[in-house]
Amino acid sequence: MITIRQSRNENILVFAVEGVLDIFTVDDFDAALTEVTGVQKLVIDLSAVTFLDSTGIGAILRAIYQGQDHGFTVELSGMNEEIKELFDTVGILRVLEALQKGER
Amino acid sequence: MSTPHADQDPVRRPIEELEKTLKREIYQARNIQNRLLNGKKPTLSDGEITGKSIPARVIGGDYFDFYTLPEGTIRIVIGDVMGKGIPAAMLMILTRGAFRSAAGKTKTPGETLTAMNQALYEDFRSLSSFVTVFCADWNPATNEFVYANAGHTLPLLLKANKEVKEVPKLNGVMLGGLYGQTYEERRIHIEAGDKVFFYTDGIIEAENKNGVQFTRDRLIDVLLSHPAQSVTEMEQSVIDAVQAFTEGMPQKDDITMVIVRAGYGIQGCSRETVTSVEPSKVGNQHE
Repeated sequence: MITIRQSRNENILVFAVEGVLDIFTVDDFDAALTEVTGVQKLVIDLSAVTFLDSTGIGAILRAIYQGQDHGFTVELSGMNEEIKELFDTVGILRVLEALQKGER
Repeated sequence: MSTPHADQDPVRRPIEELEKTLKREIYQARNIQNRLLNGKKPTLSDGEITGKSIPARVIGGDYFDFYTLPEGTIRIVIGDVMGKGIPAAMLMILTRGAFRSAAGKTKTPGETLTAMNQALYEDFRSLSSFVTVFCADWNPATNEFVYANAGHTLPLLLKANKEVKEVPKLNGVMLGGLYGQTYEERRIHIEAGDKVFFYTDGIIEAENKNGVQFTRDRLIDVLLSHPAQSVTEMEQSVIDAVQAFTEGMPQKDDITMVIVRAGYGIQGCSRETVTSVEPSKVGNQHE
């Protein structure tokens, strides 16, 4: 089960993700992502995420790539220690940092 | 060009027949993957090695492999493709091809991962997918163990004195994540009787009916409770423990493990104990 609460403040869009982000819920996240247009920044708030697997990491990666292709930055917020450690292990924070610095 | 006969026209075929064909082809794909994954294991004069993969669905995205280098060193790889089922399995086969091609042409695990990333990057990037891979060279004669990591969970090192810890930390970006990555390496020495347990997260994230995960702590308990087992017995103990814990709940993710047990090698029992860890940087992973 996943809920994505969206709020927009001028050019900043916030996705507050609640619940599980995995293979069974990823379509909801992707559907929300495809509608993102005309923003400068997408904040993905993960503070209410209870579980995230490799498919969930793939969804975050797609958001980062979409930002790169459509000219908005992505900020990940509210990561608990477990998610931070997972992201650190797979290297997604490094990908985010590198792509936003303009690396390929 | 001839017109297809009515019973050859896929639109007109009964759905049951199409389902039957699809099922048959999926099971053929399962057999192919099973054969490719659980193929011949390296022959060792001392020490042991084993590996096993159990997909959550008919086929899966986990991968392990062994490649024997000319001087007898075994290049070991374990990986986990993002997602599950048929899409993950297709990318797992791509990953296997990249490993097989890179392993014979590169000198070290870090170079292998660098070459694999180079080969896989464009495809994985266009599919917004990735694969985490841990690659290690184990020399059964000297028990030198050199490894590199592309975003995968670190293996557990089970010392003969029953101590269990992860191998020294080494992180790198998953394959398909960033173009032109190079992968740092670390080198440790393992002792006769030590075991190295490589795994994918399907083991520790297996859930029981209450949604409680198996966890790394339970895995360590299983490994510690059977210190004298052979690697294949230990493999079975882990599978049994996960199955007992999940009590028949459907398997959520692919489960894969590789276990190495160090023998005495060419040094014999009189070999001096060396436990220090020497990082050996061969690339600039974060530059």
